[in-house]
Amino acid sequence: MNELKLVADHVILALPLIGAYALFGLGIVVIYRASRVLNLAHGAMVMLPGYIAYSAAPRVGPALGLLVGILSGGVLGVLVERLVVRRLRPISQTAQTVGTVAVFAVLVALAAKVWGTEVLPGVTVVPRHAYQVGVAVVSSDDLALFVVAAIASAFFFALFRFTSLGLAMRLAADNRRAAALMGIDPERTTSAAWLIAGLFAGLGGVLLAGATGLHPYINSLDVLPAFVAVLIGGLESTSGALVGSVAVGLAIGLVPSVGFIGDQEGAPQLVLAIVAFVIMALRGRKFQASDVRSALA
Amino acid sequence: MNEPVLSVCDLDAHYGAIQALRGMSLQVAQGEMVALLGANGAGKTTTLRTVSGMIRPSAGSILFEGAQIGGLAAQTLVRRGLAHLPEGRELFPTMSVEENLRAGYWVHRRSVSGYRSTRDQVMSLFPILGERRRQHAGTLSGGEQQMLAVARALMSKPKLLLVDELSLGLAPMIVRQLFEILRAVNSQGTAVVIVEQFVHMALANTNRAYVLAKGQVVLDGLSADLLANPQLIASYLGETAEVRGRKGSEEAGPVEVGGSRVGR
Ligand SMILES: Nc1ncnc2c1ncn2[C@@H]1O[C@H](COP(=O)(O)OP(=O)(O)OP(=O)(O)O)[C@@H](O)[C@H]1O
Ligand SMILES: [Mg+2]
Repeated sequence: MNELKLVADHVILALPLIGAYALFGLGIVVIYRASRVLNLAHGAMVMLPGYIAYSAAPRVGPALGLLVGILSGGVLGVLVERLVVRRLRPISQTAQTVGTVAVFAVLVALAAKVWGTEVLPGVTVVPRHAYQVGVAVVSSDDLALFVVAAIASAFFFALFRFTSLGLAMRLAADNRRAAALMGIDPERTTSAAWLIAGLFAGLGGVLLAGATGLHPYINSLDVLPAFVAVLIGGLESTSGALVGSVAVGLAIGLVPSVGFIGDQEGAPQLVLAIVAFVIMALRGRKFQASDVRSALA
Repeated sequence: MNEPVLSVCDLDAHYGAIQALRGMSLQVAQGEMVALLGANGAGKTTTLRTVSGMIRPSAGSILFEGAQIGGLAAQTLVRRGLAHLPEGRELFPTMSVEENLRAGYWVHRRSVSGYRSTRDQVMSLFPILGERRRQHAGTLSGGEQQMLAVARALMSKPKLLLVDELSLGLAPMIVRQLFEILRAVNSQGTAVVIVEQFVHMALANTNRAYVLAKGQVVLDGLSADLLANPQLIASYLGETAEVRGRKGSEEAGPVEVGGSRVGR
């Protein structure tokens, strides 16, 4: 009974992680579908807006600082696509992926140069308050991150389901050449995908920095579990990314509450790796059974 | 004298270092249905791709309704009324039949009521698609996919429709149905260019025809005249061409021309 309660408390602690991974994971999927590239610069696109909001907030206040941070994420996304990924497309997919790694390195080095490697406090948008839930203490930042991510995800799915832009992006992702023949400009839908992914990265990045503080490397690497979430969801599925975010968020949030391994260093990461491995193995088997036809097509 | 819908003059096109078109020229009059014939690799597909803006010409001119369109992108040209049903169909495989049709209507998307009536009109030509509305295009049978590809192309209400190998991999009965539909569309005023391996069926269903070899036109004329002179075509299309002895489009087995197809 007590143990169950402990787990329930930790679920609350997992909520902000789930929110953040959803924001990052949806962006990674949208970019993958648009450009066929796993955006390894995503961490930097999360980290940099945190710093930009940090620098903007003293001048314009925290709310506008958040907005500036979000927009900077969008601008960054569009620039990375236009200046790097698009130019490398004629060469190869591998070249594009390597390009995103280079962007990651440059942006992290840039942030370290400008803001240093001391941990800085992120911008806090909601008034800071801590709630005691059983044995767990959850802060208003954490809750805000989850709520905002849930709302943003709902907007995201509505955009893809119900708007022309959403349909155009889905069509171009499914068959770029055919989309062009229908009158859709595939370069524009690609830019839109990176813009949306960047805005989400900015949003998640600023809020996460508010909850955890700012560091060029640490904040960039906070995105790694989102990649696992996306892989669990099958790389191309937005709803799969959400499911993956929940799985990964719970794994990282709950493992410390499990008695015998919970207190070991690196336990959440180990569990995460096992979860990812098992789910992908299961998916692989299902894939063979049901998708023979589309695989042959 | 009516201005031609399409007028291609001295067109060159390359894939990297490979030259696929060498001074290709052709004309399509308003309301006309024209066939492009030729052996594998003659440049038929490349001609359609260059006209529809999928690839850029390296020389020559393309006039569509009197305006120069050479080098314009496909997404611009479809807005002007040029639809291309490409080789390989190029459906949206993980999207439903309905979503594929919506994609076909993209250039007119602001008119919601127009979409419904156009879709119902197009679907009435292909009742089977109505039954499969929610199914993913990638899971349709080959024949159904080709019907969807035709239906999707018609959704844009084109003035000129380019069709690449309608018959590929389909049973003769379905091919005949599709040709009837194209003729019906053509009789409503849409000019149609078809690329075909089945010479007899192509000639029986068109007003005029061009025979291509090595990226240029080597023979052209009224389809009826060419149909009456099979040796002439055979001499351009290779010895496997056999167009004589068929009794009109009723005949089940159209003729394969230019040897066996290379799978791609
Ligand atoms: N994507 C491509 N890259 C390089 N070369 C190409 C490409 N597509 C076509 N070619 C070459 O261009 C020439 C013309 O090809 P095209 O596809 O236009 O022929 P086709 O008449 O349509 O033949 P088929 O009847 O086999 O479809 C061929 O020599 C072909 O090898
Ligand atoms: Mg061809």
